[in-house]
Amino acid sequence: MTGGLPREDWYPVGGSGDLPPGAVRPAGLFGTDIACWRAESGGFHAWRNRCGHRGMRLSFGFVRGDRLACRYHGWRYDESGECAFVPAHPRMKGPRKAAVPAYASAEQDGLLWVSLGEGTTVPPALAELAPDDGAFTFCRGIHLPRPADDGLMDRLSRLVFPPAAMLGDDGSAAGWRYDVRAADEDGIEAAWHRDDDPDRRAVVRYRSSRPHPGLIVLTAEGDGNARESRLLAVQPVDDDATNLYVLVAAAHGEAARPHSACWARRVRWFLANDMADIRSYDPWTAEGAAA
Amino acid sequence: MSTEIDRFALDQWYVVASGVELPPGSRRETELLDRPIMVDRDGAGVATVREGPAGNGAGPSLPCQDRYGYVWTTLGDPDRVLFDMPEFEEPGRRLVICGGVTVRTSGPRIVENFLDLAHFPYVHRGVLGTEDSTEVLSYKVEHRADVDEIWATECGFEQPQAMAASEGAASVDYLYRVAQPFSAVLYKSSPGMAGAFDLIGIFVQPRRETLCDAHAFMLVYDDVSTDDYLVQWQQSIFLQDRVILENQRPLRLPLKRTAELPIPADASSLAYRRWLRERGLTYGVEPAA
Repeated sequence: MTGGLPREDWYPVGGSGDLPPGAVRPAGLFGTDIACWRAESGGFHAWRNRCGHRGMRLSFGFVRGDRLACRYHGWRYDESGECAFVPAHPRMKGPRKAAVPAYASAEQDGLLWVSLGEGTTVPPALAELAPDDGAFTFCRGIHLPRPADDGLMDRLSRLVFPPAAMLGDDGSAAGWRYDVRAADEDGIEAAWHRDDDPDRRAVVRYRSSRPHPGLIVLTAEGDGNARESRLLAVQPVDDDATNLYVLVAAAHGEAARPHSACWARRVRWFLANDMADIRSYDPWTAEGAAA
Repeated sequence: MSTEIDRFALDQWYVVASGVELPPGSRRETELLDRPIMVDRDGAGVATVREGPAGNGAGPSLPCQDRYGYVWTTLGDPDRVLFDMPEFEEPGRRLVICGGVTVRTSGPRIVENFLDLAHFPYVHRGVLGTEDSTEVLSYKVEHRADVDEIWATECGFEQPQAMAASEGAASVDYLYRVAQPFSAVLYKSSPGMAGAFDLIGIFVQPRRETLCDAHAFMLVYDDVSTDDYLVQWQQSIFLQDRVILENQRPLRLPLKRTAELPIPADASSLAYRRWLRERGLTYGVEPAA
């Protein structure tokens, strides 16, 4: 699998808003089964997804106050992972050996981050990746039924998108098509046009960078220095699946947000179906253009 | 897949079809302990069991018993005919075959869950337990050497709707019986006959180590409920269990003493695991050492 992704590194496992107070859900990282939950008072936790009593996955549990309860026998775990209550024996002290190991977790830039490493580091600071564009904010997560291998990382680095500045007042990308003029190591140049309106056209140059093993920044530069960046953050789930988080640069405001979400859906469709030549159905990637 | 299956697992009787699934003149193709199995019932109602798939590959005939509403077979050499349930001869009882449910876990995990009292308030909330009454009081567990069975007795639990025919909450007495490593029966206070016990049993057909058909039956004093209602009641409870069973890790029951964390409420589970260890079961379990 690798894709040059270190196992000990930090990866997103979801958007902050996807896990409201009191919610529990599973997450995968390099095949490791993780229970993510949020206490009523707001704390986010990423634990080994197994109750030590009878092996039940804790992601099926429920939150009461600031404790996670196992669905099977109701054992309660406090935020430190200690077993605080065993309902079958209400006067018994929770077994110390039942304590659930936690993975390093953090919440930053609208994402929930987990590391399988020692947790001595911190997640990458996304604000520093595109200083001219303002901080990145989380837009949408998509699930891809394929591993985060070199092939996927390469494809992600060659995605193109219609910049918000090129679009009309309604922000819709409907009707826009493109031809790749050039594609090489330095990037891709695409000529955008509309069949229904020959006066509307734009040449956009795309570059990509990988400032961190699991992060890809795509930057579009159009006529008149119009510039837009998108950030892709990968979560290597296991040998069969990857989650991809799309973030937009705050400088482009809310206008780019719905359009980016739409783009993310197209990217999912394209990659999930392992399409070779995308221009024929126009989900905006430059795959195959270099050939 | 196990290449060699242990003697203890082989020398047991297993359900391979229920009477409901196998009317006269029909066939059920299934699996048992990784092997293909073919069960036939002829026009006269006589059941036969053979190893192997249908067609040219059909293998030798296997022992067959048509009992307790099920067709049983064995791939080994059991040292008794089949465990005795004299309640099947008692007048006034109804046998209800509740259907087989495929469960993606090991047989011993299914049996252990069947013996468990402490999960009632959480997995069967509002039916077999409530969070107002979660305590599991001490009960007795014994290995009955004469029949080589595990019994748990003097079990009690407060239940909102103990049986299909129950009217309101009641304090219910239970006995549990592990008659074979993959077969268990419980006896609980009958709402239909004062002082008597209703029987609910689970016969696990281990098709593979972590893929089973769980066959459930009820043998009850109940003149009120329809068959459909009784089947639905039992299935809704077992489907709640299935969510648990398929999400325990590991799927094979760990026999190592330190692998999981038993508490006093798990006395029957402890006895069951000890028995499996002593008998050398390896099919469907994580090894003890």
